[in-house]
Amino acid sequence: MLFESVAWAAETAEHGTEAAHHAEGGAPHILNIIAFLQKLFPDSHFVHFLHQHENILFTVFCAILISFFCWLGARHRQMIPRGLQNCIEMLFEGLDKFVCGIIGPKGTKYTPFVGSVFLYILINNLMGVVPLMHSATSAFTTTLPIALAVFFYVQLTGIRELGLGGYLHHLVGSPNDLIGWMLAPLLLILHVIGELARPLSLALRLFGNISGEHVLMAIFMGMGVAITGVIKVPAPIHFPFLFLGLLTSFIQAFVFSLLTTIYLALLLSHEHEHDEAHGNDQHKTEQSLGITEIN
Amino acid sequence: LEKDPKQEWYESIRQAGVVATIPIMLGIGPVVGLYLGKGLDHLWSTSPIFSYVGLVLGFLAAIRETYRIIKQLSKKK
Repeated sequence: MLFESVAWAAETAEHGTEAAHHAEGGAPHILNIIAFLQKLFPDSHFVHFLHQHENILFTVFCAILISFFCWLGARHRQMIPRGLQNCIEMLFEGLDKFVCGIIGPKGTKYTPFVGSVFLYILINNLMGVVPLMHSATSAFTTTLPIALAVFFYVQLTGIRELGLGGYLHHLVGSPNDLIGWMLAPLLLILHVIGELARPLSLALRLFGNISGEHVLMAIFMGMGVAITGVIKVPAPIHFPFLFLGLLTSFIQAFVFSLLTTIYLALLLSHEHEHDEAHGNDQHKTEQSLGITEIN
Repeated sequence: LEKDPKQEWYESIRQAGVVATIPIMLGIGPVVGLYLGKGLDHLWSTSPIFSYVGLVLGFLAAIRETYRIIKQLSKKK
């Protein structure tokens, strides 16, 4: 009897549930509004087009959502912030503290980029736990462009802050002596491989965590529907995983922006060291010339 | 002195970030090195010399990158 019930539940989960279904030969995923529309209008070319581009549509929606709330918060700016302006200012202050905590006082310059990346990923991740919405960050085609944007931004910042010569010097491991210059070709290769590995690791981590979380939720939703069919009482067994989803969404957005900040800090600390070394050289030159300031 | 719970939570998330970085970086580094080596082998018909060299260099690069990230994070500003 028990075996029959389990078999029936499994069959229901496989064929009968709308909550979780297998995508064309892929992993199970949670039903979103576009997939739902496609089930309602299977012959519509427009809905088919939407379904094909659902990740792009959800990312655009996410960008519009963030822009709208920022516009709403900044619409009637007051010296003493209230309501949404207060929330947005708190968020931006928090992000600025976070960036400056790693980079230092110069970090404020990079807060807009890191903050945008954080918010964009966070909202995209959180959309996955909202019914009928979809998290575009569960697709590698979404996470890779974000990681590439970070990669190019870090490289361009390096060139802008250090100059082309300084950037190349940084790439070969900032050699100062003969041994350093002899090791430079090896360090250049190591550095280039490390730089190329960064966007891939950023993209894969985010994609893996978010898609894994969604597959887990979809499986438990399917099981919940199947169990509901057997015991005739709603069984939302995926519910605890929604909290896990909230936590994962935040942690992944945080880790992504944390690593972006670290990559910037690695370049800027080099600039700082370069400045210090340059300052020391200048100081030594001044001392040798006898122009040291007398206190 | 007792630590601020908010600060402690922030620190633990930061550490979680570092811990999440290590295995992925250690895995991706050799893969990138291997593919770069394979590309060079294909270009100069030297298979599999550069693939092996790339694999080893990729692993070394991954260790170096992980070390730099941890060092940067443990710096006190």
